[in-house]
Order: sequence, then structure tokens, then C-alpha cells
Amino acid sequence: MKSWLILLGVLVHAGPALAQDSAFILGAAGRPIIRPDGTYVFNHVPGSDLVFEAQIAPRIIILDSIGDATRHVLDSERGTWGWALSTAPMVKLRMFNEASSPVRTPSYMPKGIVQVARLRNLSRADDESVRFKGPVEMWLIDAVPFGHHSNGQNGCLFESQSRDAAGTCVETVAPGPRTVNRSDGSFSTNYIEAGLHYGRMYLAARDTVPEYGTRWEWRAGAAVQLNPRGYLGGALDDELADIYGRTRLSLEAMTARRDSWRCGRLEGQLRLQYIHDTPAGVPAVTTIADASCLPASWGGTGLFVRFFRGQDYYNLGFTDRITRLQFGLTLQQATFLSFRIPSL
Amino acid sequence: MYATLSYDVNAGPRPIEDVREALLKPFDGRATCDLLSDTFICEIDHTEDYLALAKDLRQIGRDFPGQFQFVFTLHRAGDPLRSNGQFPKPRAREILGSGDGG
Repeated sequence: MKSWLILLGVLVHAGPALAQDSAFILGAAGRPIIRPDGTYVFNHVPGSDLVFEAQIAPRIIILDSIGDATRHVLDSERGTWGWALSTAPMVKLRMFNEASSPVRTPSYMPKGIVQVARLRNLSRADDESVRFKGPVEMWLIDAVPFGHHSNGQNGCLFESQSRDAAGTCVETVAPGPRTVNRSDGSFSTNYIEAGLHYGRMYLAARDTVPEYGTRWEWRAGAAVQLNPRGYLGGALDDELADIYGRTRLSLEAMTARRDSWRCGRLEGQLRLQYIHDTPAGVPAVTTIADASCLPASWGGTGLFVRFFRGQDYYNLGFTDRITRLQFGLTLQQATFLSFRIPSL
Repeated sequence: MYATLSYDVNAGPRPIEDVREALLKPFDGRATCDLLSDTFICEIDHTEDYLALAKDLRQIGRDFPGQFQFVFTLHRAGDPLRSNGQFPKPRAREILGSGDGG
């Protein structure tokens, strides 16, 4: 633990804070990435047989007009609209400290994302040097019309089951408490998610380019996730639904600051999730609080710490209640928005 | 950074020469370069500098009602200048290259 802390201290101090502009701010010609899932490599306390856990989630923008909308916000009293279509081929994995260090049943979580944003400068000051500082408000609809979560296994869900000649999982031992088959049990669900978020961005002149960039921002919102029956191949079946839960509601709030202390991006986030129909022994509410610092010279990489309490989010772990303090490295694609100065 | 100023000076109660003199005054001591008639570029130090110049130009519009209109646009250092007119290119290049380009 001590060596981890020393390493983290050395890494943070290795990155000198740069001037006002940094890689974390979107150029006016760029495509903004809003609410990405983020990539993480980490461990946790209290310790367990985990070697490391990782989430790999690059956000790939396919179509975007939010970037174009940012070019006209400071020029429009009524605000501007934009939308984006993107995808995230997300994977979560845990490597365990056992013989041959297995990565047991990774979570494959690809999804398609549609975002619609409305941006508007709330400042009505006559003086442009005041008005252009905003705040700029953003209403964001963040939807996942199709998301998939599976673990790529073909075993039966419970250890008490085995496949019959037709390939159907049937009970082969006397009825009793059933244990989830964690070595090769099959887990699969498809989901729909929709969220509404509201936030404000407070701007500062960038001075090297004709733009005002976000200096700090906050955002809050709510979302609902449904795991419907029969939603394409791999949908959540009734047997799994009884112990996984079909409906999840979440509330979240975040704040981020640009070029603060040694961080090109300093961010804090709080998320609460309510699982409508949880199995016995699993809490209905999940609490997640995290903080990250991405040093200015690390190109989007940084350090994070996260408190997690609630239902284990790792495919077949859903019957577990976990409380963990996670810490490690993160790679974030989230960018602070920047707004073009109009002709006067 | 640099800025382009396109302007229109109209006949009115005050002599046109007075309007022209007034509109050039805010650019005293600043690198400028004439493009075609009624358009020129100037160097800009930072955003506040640009906004202050725009404020001065707007005041000239108020001092000479109906005789002066303008469009003043800020550009990133090094951004290409789109003009098919004749202008002193070495001088323009100096102004376009001012600032670090971010």
C-alpha cells in the first residue's frame, strides 16, 4: 500500500501544470465527447484475490453536430442544438491471483449511444468580455437504444444445473439453495437506457485561439435502464431476471475543473443507483463516489479513487454486495467544451 | 491572433475623411495591413484586446450615426487569409503569424 502511495505521489509531481490551454479542451473544430465511460486499471481495498480490474471503453463518435453547435452558442440568444451518434465497445475484466492468473468471465458490454444537446448562453450582459464568460447551460438527453452485457460463457447459470441433450439447463441435484456458476455460467442481457442531464459551464478566454473555453462545469441528471424480455438475441431471460433485476434508476452529479493545481482535468462525481427488483441479500441502492486528476502533461491519463458500495456490477457477481475503495489509473476522453467568438 | 476588419463608410452630415480618421485611430501603434479597399487586418494580443477594439469601433459607429458599419472578426494565428485581391503579402504574413497559434 505504501509503495502504491509513493508511486502515485511521484507520478503526480512528474507532470508540471501547463498554461491555460491543455489537451483537455475541445478545439472549436473538434467533436466533443460528453459523458464517456472511461478506461480504468485499478485495484481495491480491502484486499482480495484480485490482481487488477480493468474497464476498457473507448468512445467512438460516428456522427456529430454538437461540435458545430458550440461554434454558434456565443452568437445566439436562443441557443443551439446538436446531436451525436457514437459507440463504445466496452469490456470489463478482473484478473485473479490464482493458478495461471485467470481473467474469469469478462464482461462484454458494447453499446450504441445517441445524445441530443441544447446549449445556451445564460449571460445577457452588454459587455462581451462579461457575456462570453457565460455560464452556458446544457440540457442533454443521453440514450442507449441498445446495450449488451454478457460474459461469453456457455455453462449453465447455476452449479446445480447441467445441459440436457437438447442443450437446455436442467436441475441435476436435489432442490436446495442454488449457487451461481462463476467459472463458466452464462450471463447475458440487452438493455435500453435513457437519461436527462442539466449542467452549466463557466468560461474563460483561451487567448491563443478565438474561443472561450470551459473553466469549470457542473452537471446533474437522472437515468433509467430497462432490461426487457425478448429484446433481440441475448436478452435477459426470466430465470436470470429474477435474481438480476430488470429495472435500474440512477441519479448522478459531477463537477470538473480545468487546469487546477497540477491537474489538467480535476473531476468529482457522485452516483446513486436504485435496482427496482433486487434479489434477497443484495442492497437496492448502489453508491458510487469518485474523484480523478488527469495531469496536464499526461495526454488524458490520470489517477482516480472511487468508493463503491452496492450490487457487484461484474456480470456473474450480481448476487454479491461489495464495499470497496478502488484506486488506480484512468484514461478519459471527456473534453471541456469550447465556444467560438463570433464576429462583432 | 489577428483580426480582419471590413467596414463601410457612408456620406452623411460629417465629412467621410473624419470618419476614416476616427476609425483608424484605435489601431495606432498596431501592426496593420490593408487588403482591398475598406478591409484590413491587424494583430491582436489576446481576447480582451480584441473585445476592447470592438468596443472602440462600436463607439465610432455611435459618434457617426449611419456613417460607419463594420464586421470585426478574430482569427487564430496562422489561419489562412482568404482574399483574391492584391495586398502586401510579406506584411500580411507577419501579422497572420503573430501569437503562438495555440
